[in-house]
Amino acid sequence: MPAQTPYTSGSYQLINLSYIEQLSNGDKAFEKEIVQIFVEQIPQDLAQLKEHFAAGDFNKVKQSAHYMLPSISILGLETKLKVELEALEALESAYKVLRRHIETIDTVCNKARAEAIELLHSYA
Amino acid sequence: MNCLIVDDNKIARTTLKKLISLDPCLVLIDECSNATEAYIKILEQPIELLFLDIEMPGMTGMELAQSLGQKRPLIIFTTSNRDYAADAFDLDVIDFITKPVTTVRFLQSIEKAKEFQKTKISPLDLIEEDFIFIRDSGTVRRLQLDNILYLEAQGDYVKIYVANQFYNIHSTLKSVEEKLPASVFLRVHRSFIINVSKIDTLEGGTLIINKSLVPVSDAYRAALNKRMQIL
Repeated sequence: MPAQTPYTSGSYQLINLSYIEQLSNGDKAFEKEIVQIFVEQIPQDLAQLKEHFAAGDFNKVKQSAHYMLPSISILGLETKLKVELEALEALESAYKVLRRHIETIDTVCNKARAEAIELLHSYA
Repeated sequence: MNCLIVDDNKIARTTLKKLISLDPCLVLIDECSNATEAYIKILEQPIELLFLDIEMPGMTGMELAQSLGQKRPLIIFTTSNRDYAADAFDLDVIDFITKPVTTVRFLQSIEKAKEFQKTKISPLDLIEEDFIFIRDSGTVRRLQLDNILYLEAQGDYVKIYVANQFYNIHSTLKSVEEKLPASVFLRVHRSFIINVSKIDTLEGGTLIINKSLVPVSDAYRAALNKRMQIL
């Protein structure tokens, strides 16, 4: 059974809800909607990022990383992935380094998604 | 103020919708996930304020802003990338805000848009009862209402006829009609408004005003007859 205890902004290791809470002003339906979109959207975004990297299409890698920014930043993940995202925007690092950055983004976003799913269960 | 959101990211659109709902002066007409869809919507309906993402697949926000010409609404660029700021302001936009957009920053932008809208001279502004100002090819010109013979809609423009010349303004006949005094001007056709005091003759379904023929459609005939008080 998922946890039913009320969450607080500091309850999670990765996601940070301070922006969403400031925006929602207590509107839980809105908070839930945003978290739901994140949960649905992030696997597709990650898949695209990895697909373009595997194909060696670095222009599209850059576009995919840029596209993910609003989702990442809205859940407070931007600071945690700052180095990686900047490297993908600049595309100046070695291939191996970029690959490691993509792996980090993948890991962090998937963990954040798991936390977001847990959070979704906490909404009434 | 009628608004349109243009952003390829659903989370970004959803947060903007929430922010727009904070100000009752803002009416969200629609949201678009790409610039081409937005271009069509802007041509179809009156949009006054555009929340426009810059980097989108296909047509970018910058390209959309450049392509709209006289149909261009006020624009607030919303982007994740600060590097575009200089280019964006070159396009004479209201503001440039980075995502995620905070409530305070959003409301500041909206205040700027409202201030701009207040000071903006519309294509035709009624200032006094006996004259109007029109914007004609970049020049703001004063016209005595008494000198206007009639007005004709032509596409996105209205031709204002005076004596032996006319002025073109970018507007609809309906919005011009709303600004002209009903005591002097009368709609006689889907595409024509006349100055009643300038009618020379009426024969059948045609008026002659200063040697020009102006059609009268059946729908407006009764109103015209009533106004002319024919003896």
